[in-house]
Amino acid sequence: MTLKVYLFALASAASLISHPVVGKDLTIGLSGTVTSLDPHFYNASPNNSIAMQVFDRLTERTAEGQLVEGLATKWEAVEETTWRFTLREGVKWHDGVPFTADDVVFTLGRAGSVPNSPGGFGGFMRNIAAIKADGDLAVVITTKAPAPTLPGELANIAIVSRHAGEGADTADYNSGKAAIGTGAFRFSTFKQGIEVALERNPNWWGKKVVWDHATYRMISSASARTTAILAGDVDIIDAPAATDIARFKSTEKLAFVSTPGLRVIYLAPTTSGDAWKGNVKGANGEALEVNPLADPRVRNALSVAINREGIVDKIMEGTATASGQWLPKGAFSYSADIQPPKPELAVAKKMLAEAGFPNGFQLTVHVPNDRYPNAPAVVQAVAQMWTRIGVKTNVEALPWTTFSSRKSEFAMKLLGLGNATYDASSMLVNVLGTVDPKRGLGASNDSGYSNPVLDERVAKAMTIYDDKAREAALIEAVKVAVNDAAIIPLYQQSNAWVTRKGLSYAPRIDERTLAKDVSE
Amino acid sequence: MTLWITQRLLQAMLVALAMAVIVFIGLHLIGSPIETLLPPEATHEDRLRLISDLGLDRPLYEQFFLFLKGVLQGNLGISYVYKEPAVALILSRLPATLELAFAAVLLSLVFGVPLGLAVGWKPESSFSRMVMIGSIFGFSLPVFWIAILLIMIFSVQLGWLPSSGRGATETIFGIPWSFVTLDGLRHMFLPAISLSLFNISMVTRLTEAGVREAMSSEYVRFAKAKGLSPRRILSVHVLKNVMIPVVTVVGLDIGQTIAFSVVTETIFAWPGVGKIIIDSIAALDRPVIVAYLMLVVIMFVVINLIVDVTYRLLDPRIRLQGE
Repeated sequence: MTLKVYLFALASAASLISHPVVGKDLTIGLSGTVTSLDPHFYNASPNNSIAMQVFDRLTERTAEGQLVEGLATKWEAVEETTWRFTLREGVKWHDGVPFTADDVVFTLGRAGSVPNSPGGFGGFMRNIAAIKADGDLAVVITTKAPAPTLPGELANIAIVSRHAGEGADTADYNSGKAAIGTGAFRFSTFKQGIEVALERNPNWWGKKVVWDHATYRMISSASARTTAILAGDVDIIDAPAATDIARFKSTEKLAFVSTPGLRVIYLAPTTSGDAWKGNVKGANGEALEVNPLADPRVRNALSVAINREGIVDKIMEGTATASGQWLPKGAFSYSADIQPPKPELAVAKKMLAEAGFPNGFQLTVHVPNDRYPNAPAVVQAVAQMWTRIGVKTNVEALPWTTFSSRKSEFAMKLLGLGNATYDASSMLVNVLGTVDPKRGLGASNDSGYSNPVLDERVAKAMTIYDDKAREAALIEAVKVAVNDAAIIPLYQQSNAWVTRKGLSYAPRIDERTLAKDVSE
Repeated sequence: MTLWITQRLLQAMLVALAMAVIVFIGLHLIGSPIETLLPPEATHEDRLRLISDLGLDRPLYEQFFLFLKGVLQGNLGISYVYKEPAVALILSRLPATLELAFAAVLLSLVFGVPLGLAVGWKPESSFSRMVMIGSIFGFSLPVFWIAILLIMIFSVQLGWLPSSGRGATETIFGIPWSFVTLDGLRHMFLPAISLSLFNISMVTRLTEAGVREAMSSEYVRFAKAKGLSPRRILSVHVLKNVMIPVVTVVGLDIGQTIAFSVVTETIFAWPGVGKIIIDSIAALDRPVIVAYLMLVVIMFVVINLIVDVTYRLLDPRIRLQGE
């Protein structure tokens, strides 16, 4: 009998050894740095990638940017300035407490005002006047003006709980104490700037997640990410270097995916003020009375002189798509009518002559040298193209820290816009809107562009509730800005990922790397 | 000697203070952290709130005095980017950098000193010639190139060692160390080797030069005449005399490796202070940069102090200044 028990124990022990219960782990090499687990601390892609998995939002975005249900299952505009969101039933926080409308009320009170935070979430809520719970499973949001885009903007705001978050500050989220969400993964550990570890939330309401554990390792150097995925240290990396892509494609054990992304790279001419004077001179170096860049014909001439296909092909090595607007194909308010202009030097020269600059002028273009891939080389190429039509162009490349604090002094600068609204409005409102804090316009407008007709069109478009009609009105506004060459769009950056063979990840237009969407 | 040590420490504090002033003014000239921190979607209100939260609306001298007040209370400021105390942030990364630096220095002593002794003893042998040629490579090949080469061979091609990160850590006295776990040692191997190759070459050459000089000195000739074994002559009599320049160089080297191992840390994604200082400079995260540089100054002074004390232990004839 004792022997039998002993043998049985031995056999079961052996079976335990031969069939160990192993969880599935995913390790991600992330290019950006996650600075905080507080989802309202900083609106940047790496932070949002983590926040999107620990927390949920009322509405969510698919990989292609379509708006879908999140913690809200239904949203309707009950009046012109009132939205009603019906919340998902049976959702529980990671600690088991049920999720209710009160948590949403708490979140929208917190998201725009975290102390000492670079933030960036206030803009999504600038239209909100009041928010009220309607029972446990609905919230009613009144807005200051008609706000048809509110559901889309709320796809950026992670919903946090009142019971864990009341009185908590960013440090409490970083330590995990307040980082209690409803999302696909629970918080496990966070080492600032090094690593975030997550574990699966078995009770998540969404689709099944493959991974029991997901570890994000922050590897900022592109070559270190390359060697990490080649050596098998990580399962997936984002933002591979353009020069390594051919190698990834030819490596048997790896897979490469990419999509044109939301981030547009553009040249921004300074159209008003006096700041241009140091960087624009006459053809022979003499001081100019009027700013040539204030003339739309000059801006259009510069745009037409650029060979975008050549830049995308030769300098970006195919990791970008030439663009004449600021959205990738298929996005809301993308217009197939607006194609990237064909390079036509004769036309460009004629336009310059009509504007009163038959001999061109001298221009200095500023570009950040540590922010956008290959940006200095792109601007060098543009400078040669412009010099060919008589605009003698110098290039000055600066580190982002210096560039960003001096950017209102430049006459022409290269910038990128990540576009958090997933449509044309973020550029139209924040960058091209006339600076007007009261109306919430032009918060990032440092080139002095102002076009009352455009402001009018945009303001009107942003009050149309019917999606089709709003899209059409936005496209009309985009056309006004494009005809005016308010900015000179160059290309949409592609977002790319490399995975080990056997994994699949639908490339996202918004640069985020989500473990919950990586499948086997 | 106590007086002398106190003097040195006071000097260190003055230098650290001067450093803080220079960095404060320098960073102010580079630009405003607000522009680098704010996301493009930020509103006018976001901007104004952040400027006043961080105290950047006050004049620079006022910001500096607030900073000094904080220093006297043991608080070097809160990181703008991470919103954690700057000192805590740096100290949390320091163990990773320290263990890597010490591993590299240890390797350079373990390999460099015996090689130098052997080569100095018989400079004409073919082994010695090979070592000396090898050390020229060690000197002249850049660290980052060696690092990438090592990764390509041992991680990518052979798959023996991991290419990045620190691996498993074990907590001792509340600090996570990776040299106590096998996985951690595997992760440390390549970065330590690439950091130490230069140091090994230097220590080898220094030791070799010292030994050759000592060989012609009277005490060695006397020892030889007395019939002592070469092992005893080298390890007891020669070694002590050649160690002084080696200690100087190794001391400076530890400081260099700790403070400026940025390149190696970046290539191996080693989570040390190098990475955080680069990130902080890119974000103009002033509290972290100031705290880091002040710590570096203090560290260099302490290392120099230890070097000076070691001199005295090695050679009692040396008197310290002020003694």
